[in-house]
Amino acid sequence: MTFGRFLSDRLGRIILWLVCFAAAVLFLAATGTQIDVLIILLLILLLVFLMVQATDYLRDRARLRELESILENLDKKYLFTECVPSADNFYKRCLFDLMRRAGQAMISAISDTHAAQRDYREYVESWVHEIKTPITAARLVCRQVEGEPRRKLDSELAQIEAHVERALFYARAESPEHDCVIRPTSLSEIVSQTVERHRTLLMQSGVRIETQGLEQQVYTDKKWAAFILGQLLQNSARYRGDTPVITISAKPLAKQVQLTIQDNGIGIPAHELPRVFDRGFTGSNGRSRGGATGMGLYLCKKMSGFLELDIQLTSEEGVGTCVTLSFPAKENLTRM
Amino acid sequence: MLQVQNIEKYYGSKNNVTKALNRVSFDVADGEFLVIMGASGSGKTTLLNCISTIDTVSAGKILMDGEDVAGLSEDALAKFRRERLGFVFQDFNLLDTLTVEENIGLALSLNHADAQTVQNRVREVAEKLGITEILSKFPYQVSGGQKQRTACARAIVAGQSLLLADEPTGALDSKASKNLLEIISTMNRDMRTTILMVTHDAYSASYAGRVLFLKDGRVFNELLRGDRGRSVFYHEILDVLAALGGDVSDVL
Repeated sequence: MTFGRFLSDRLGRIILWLVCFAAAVLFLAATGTQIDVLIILLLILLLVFLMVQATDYLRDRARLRELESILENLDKKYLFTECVPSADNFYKRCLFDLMRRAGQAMISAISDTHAAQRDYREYVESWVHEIKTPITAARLVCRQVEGEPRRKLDSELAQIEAHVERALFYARAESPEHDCVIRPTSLSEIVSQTVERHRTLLMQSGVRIETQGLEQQVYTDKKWAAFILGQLLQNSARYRGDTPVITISAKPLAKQVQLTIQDNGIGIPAHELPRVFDRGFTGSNGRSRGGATGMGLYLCKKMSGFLELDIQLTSEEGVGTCVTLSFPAKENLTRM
Repeated sequence: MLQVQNIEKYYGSKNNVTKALNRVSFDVADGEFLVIMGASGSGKTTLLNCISTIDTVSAGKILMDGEDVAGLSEDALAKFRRERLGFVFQDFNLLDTLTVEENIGLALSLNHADAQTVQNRVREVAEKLGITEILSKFPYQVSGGQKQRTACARAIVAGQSLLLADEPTGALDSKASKNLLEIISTMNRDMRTTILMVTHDAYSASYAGRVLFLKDGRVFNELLRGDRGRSVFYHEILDVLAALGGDVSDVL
């Protein structure tokens, strides 16, 4: 707030006062007061008037700066009304009270939404746990069937499991910090576990997996990393070429370990590449093959961000797709 | 009679905000004796301050007989506090320059009741709480236990429907505490006064019909006494406190 702005706000009142002063002086002059006395009187009046305006300005400016600094320092800005000291005069107090009540309604609404969201997420999580039992039971029943139907049922069940898992991770992705243990983990362990979990899909797609130099230690959460890798493997298997090969390789790079998942699948058109990590984006491949939800890579990106992984995707149509995950790791001192 | 719905309370100063209450909800039925327990810093006094309208909530609602207390104007709030709520504090808050009788009748006089009614009401309540002999004495002439009973009498003399007590036994020795607690339960049982008491003392809590445990601003647990004896209930409260992780000084 500048002094000019302050004065322009009070312009009407200031003019009124000055007119009053002038009228008073004219009146006194007309009734025979000495000119010297009038000048002294006028000077004193003007001085006092100016001082009042100046103190008002300084007080308002200090108050405004205080409020600004409170807002600045607040992490959740919507709690502003709860942190502001009440005002000194009645009118301001009424305004303050109105603001506080509006703020209260907003905080209530936010809190209710958070609670509803949390309830829903908890419901989805418990639902996922419950649905796993009938899926396992179905798998067992499936063993008693022979031949073609068993193979088909197996693959359908594997798909159901993959979808269910994605739903669970989606629900958790909102607050992954509740379920996250960062530990030194071996990459080969993550990869073998993930491949094992998606065995049915990979075998039925006839995918050959090649691994290279996976004996690396990285710092990450095993479960989340395995989920990300699982999504990538599923994509590679789903959008495969004629003789599908997935190459999983790792190489240390300063304070990182880069894990590369390279396939020789159908690839992604260049104009769709910038959008593959968008939520719900299925692209031309997903559209032509069906069954795509547009959630897989979105979740990968989101989780990577949380785990401090860098995820890069390059692809050439008809040649294949290459995803690079950079895991944080200890600097490899032995090599130097 | 009292409904607390998802209330939250933030305390903010210049650089930081503290969440003192986090979505606390509970109901108090007519004639109930409810105790709120929790370690220091768990938000129990904040909760009591919000209910007693001394402080305002950041979110949620507090309904008294279905009426939202946040919507009341300043004058209505003062009237509401005077006529509907009775307060008992840890340090009694009696006026030393008034006699016990005048202390008890003060709220009634402020409500412009006539002298005869005031006197009748005061004597009636004093008789029930066993302080008739000390009515003409001054607060500094009577014992701590008697002072606290005077405070109780003052809290219900105007026919207030809800008695709010913040650590009423905090400044009393064990015998006086026991005596006071007996009187509070009598008030609850015989006069159907609804009581909401905040304490961190398990012994005081064992007199209640229901105990609500607060931890870090959240309702952690709730215990109902049912028809069980007080000592059984006392041990159950101690068990919850052990689980709460309140330190020993808070329990004993």
